[in-house]
Amino acid sequence: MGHIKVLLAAAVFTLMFAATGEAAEDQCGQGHAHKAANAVEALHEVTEARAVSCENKVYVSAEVAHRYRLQLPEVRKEATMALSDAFDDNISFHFSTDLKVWQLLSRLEARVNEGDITKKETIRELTAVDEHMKG
Amino acid sequence: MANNKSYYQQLADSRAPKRPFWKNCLHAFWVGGLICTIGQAIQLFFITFFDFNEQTAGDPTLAVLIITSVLLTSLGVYDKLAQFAGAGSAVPVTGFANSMASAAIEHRTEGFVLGVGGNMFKLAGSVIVFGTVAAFIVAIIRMLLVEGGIL
Repeated sequence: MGHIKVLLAAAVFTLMFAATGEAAEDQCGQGHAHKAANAVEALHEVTEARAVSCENKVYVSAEVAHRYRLQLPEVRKEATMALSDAFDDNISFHFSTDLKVWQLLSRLEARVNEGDITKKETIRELTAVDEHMKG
Repeated sequence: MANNKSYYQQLADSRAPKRPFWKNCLHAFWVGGLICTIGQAIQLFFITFFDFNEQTAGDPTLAVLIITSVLLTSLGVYDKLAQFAGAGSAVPVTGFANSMASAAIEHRTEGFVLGVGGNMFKLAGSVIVFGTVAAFIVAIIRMLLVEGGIL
């Protein structure tokens, strides 16, 4: 009887650890995203930045201060340089100042931070974001 | 003869009522600004509630503004606004739509081809011609500046 209890306890612990491990693996780590947001927010033209990362891809969007809106191409260039300085070549980053990208990334960032989105869903959402970054 | 002409012109100018220049400017400024704000709100609506981004939202925004302007012209509202605001209602894209729609409405009795088709661009034609010419000149200047390494 004692052996069965021990076996049951071991099985429960194994399942618990397996479940937590799966949950951690099932979500995208946001380390790169935080680093990217900080790098972009350091620019004086940028008031706020949103970023979401998954695997080796980082998607960043920034809200540019009103008085710099006429210099958006320069701001984009500066932000891209700041991001390339912050990351190695094996990380691919995408930056945009588009309002739609900002809205999508804001929503996605909130969901990722709350932890109610899986890795698969995050990748799907990021593909939609990527579509708006083209052109 | 020339003296008589200039005298008459002076006399006419002195008797003519003064144009309220600053008042007209103010009306043009706020009405033009209001039309642009409405356009911005429509663009924001398309970006937020539909699958448009800043680049693609321009097309449906223009379509909505043009349709609204044509409707207001046909109802006779836009003409009253144009009298009040002047350039404030003529410079935005709604003014262009108004110039085409009003010409089409005015000449509809002369037939569809010769009336509407032939006269539709009477007012808007100059905008198209000078817009194209200005764009051409600006593009040449830009190309020269870019090639010269200034830009």
